[in-house]
Parts: sequence; structure tokens; C-alpha cells
Amino acid sequence: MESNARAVLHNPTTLIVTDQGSTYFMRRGQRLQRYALINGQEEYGLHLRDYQSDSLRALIAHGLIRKVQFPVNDPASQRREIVTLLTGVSHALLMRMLANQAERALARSAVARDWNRAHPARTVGSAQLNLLARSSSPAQQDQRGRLAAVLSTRVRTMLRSEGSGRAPDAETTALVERLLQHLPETLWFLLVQSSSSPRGRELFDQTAELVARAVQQATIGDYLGLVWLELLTHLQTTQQPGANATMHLLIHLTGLEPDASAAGRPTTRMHIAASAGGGTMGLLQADLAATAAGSGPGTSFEQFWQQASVSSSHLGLYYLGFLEDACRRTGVSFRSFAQSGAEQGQLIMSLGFEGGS
Amino acid sequence: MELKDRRMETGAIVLTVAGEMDLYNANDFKKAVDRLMAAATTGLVIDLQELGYIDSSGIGALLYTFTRSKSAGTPICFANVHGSVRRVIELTSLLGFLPIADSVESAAERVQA
Repeated sequence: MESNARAVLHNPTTLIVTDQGSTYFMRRGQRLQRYALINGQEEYGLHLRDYQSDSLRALIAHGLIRKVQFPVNDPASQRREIVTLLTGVSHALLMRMLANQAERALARSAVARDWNRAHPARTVGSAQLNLLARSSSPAQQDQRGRLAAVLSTRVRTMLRSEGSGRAPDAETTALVERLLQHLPETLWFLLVQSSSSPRGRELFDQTAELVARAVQQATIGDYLGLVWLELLTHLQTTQQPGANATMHLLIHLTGLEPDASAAGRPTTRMHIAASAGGGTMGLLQADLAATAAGSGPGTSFEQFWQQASVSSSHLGLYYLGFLEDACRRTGVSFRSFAQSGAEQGQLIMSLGFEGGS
Repeated sequence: MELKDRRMETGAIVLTVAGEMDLYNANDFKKAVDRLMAAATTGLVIDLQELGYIDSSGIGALLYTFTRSKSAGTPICFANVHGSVRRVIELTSLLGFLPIADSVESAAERVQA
């Protein structure tokens, strides 16, 4: 649902910044404040309302935002906003995953090995090479433009052959172009430098495969929006009469910045939780910790949905099945679970995704 | 959601669905389909031109319509499936499964064929 890119989100959204984001906003004179999140924590960030989905996507894709909290008063009237938000965040994470994967592919490539041997003072991953890549000449920029066009054509050809011969539509083409823009500068620089060599062509092919897979992963965002609409609607039906009607969606993103503890191999994760009802948010905090540790005290979504006394409970699984399938097909690992709180009808549902390995 | 039905000269009945189809009104759609299926002499066309949103309950209602038409022996065709509704039907792999036509007229021709 790439066409939602320019949709405006009106609901006030809390964005928690990364370290890089903190520097970025402070340099631009943007004042950061502490905001209370539904997991009981207070963190520094900013508040947005009446903003374009594109803007949020760019902030996330550039690693500036690591949490998004979005209030949901009425899922029915906020349908488009919820779907727009979730598909936008998914696409942003996708771009980040692609950038990380492309960097690793470059680092492992013969092109990088040859370059490092010839330029020991400007090796792949060094600040010197990053600076060089960003200050390319007009002639190099022209070459890059031509190479980008060829890469775009290659990716679309790959998608066409995997899509039973159907040409990618305009939305898919726009997504390909957007993904190409998020490839690392050093990758483009070295692709241009090595474009006429067999090793350069090998790196080119690898990059095309990564971008094509990222396009296929984009449907995850579409299914995510549909699944969460169903879940939020269900959450609303579990609300106790007289309870605070506002639910909250908390999206927690990790792996957007290089994780030194993982030996430089960042794993991009997105964890989405929604909470309804009052009471302590300790369950949500435990939920996030459990997901990070790879375990969870709750039941799987499938078990939860089958146990839930919703008249259309069998349909609740409908989109979830597609979501799981989309993740499996495109190499994104996926975990889901739901947990009910004992106090005041609190209910937490979460979905965790991991990619970029 | 608003439901309006009319009979074409060919005898096919066109059910126009306007608004949004979701958990709260999908059953109304199913009841309308049951009623019209009995009255249709040549077939039933479901016009989705004015349908702006559909959730999984609505998808279920469309599937119900399709299976109901098979058991009743009354041909059915969906017309003017576009926008986010078409996208959802595409995402759920139903685009090649449900009978869909670009217009009410071509849908009417299909149910009479």
C-alpha cells in the first residue's frame, strides 16, 4: 500500500529518538522532551501530529527513531491511519534492513577485498571511504544514475519472472526506486568503480537480489496493518464499561544502529504491542523483555484467538495466516503472542519480527 | 453501509454496496444476498464501486456469497472492485478466485453466460 506514502496522520504520535536521532534533532534546534510510554518508562523524544506518513518513514529509515506510540480511540474511525502508520513503519524498517544487508554483502565481497588491498587508508567501512563516497564528482554521479537505472530494470525483471510474468505495477516500481535510494553510499561508489569487472557484476547481481527480496517483504507491512486492525477491534470489545476508552499502540524498533555486542551484525527487530484497559503496564514491560530474550509467557496468537469469545474468531486468524506466510517466504522470522492481565481487563498482544541476518 | 438493489432488463439483480463492510454489518450483507439470491432469475451482480473499506468479516461475507451462489445454482459476479478493497482481495489471494468484472454491464454478461 505504497500509495499511503503521502497520507497525513492526524493523531498525536510520540516518537522516541535514538542517540543519532537525538543529535540530529538537537542540531536543528528541535527541543526534545520526556514522554511517558505505556510500558511505564519515560524517554526522550518528540511529539508529532498532522504529519505525512512519508516523514515518519524517513525518520525511521535513517535510524533516528526507535519507538512510536500511537493512541487509538476508535479503531473503526481510525482504520486508514492505523494501516498507514503500520505499513509506513514496516517499509521504513525494511529499508533499514536492506541497508544493513547491503553493507554486509559489500563487506564480504571480492570487490571490497580488492579495494581494501589497493586503498589501505580508505577501507570499506572507514569514515574516509564514507566521505569519499559522499563527495563524488558530477561524472561519477552520472555513472551512478545510469547504474541505478540498470539496477532498477534488473530488479523489476526479477520480480516479473517471479510473479508469473506479470510486470510490476506502478506502486511496486515506486517502491523499487525508494529502496534503491536507501542503499549505502559506499556500495554505490564501489559498484560504479567496479562496474566493468566480473567481481563488480557479481556484487551488482547480489544487490539486485537483495532489493527484489525487500520488495517481496513489503507485503508484510500490508498484512501487518490488516492484522492489527482486527486485533485493535477485538481489544476494544474487551474493554470494561466505564474504563478509559483509549488504547495505545507501541512500536519498538531495534537494530537500527549497529549493535556492537552482536559483533557488528545488527539484527533489525520490530515489536508491536497494544494495550487496553487501565492498571499497571508491568505486563507490557515484561512482554517486551521476554520477546527480546526469545521467550514469552503468553499464548500464541492462534491459541489466543481460538480461545477468545468473538463471534468472528475464525476470521481473526485469516490475516495472521497470510502474515506468517509472507514472513516465511521472505526470510523474516516472526513471533506472536497474547497475554491477558488480571487487573482491570488489561490485554496485551504483541508481534515480533526479526530480519536482516 | 448502504445496500441498494435493482433489477436489470436482462433479469439480473444488481446489489450496490456503499460505505464500509466490517464486523458490524457483514451479516446485513449476507442477509441481503440470501434474499436476492432467491429472487434473481439470471444471476446476481455485486457492485462494489462505492465500497471504500472491507475487513476480514467483509471478506468472509464475499466468500459466503460465492459459496452460496454455487449451492443455489445462481451465478454471481463482483463488479468495480478497486482501491483498498481490491488490494485486500489481492493480498488474500482471492483476486483470481472470486468472479470479478470491470463493470456492472460486463458482470451482468458473465452471469448470463
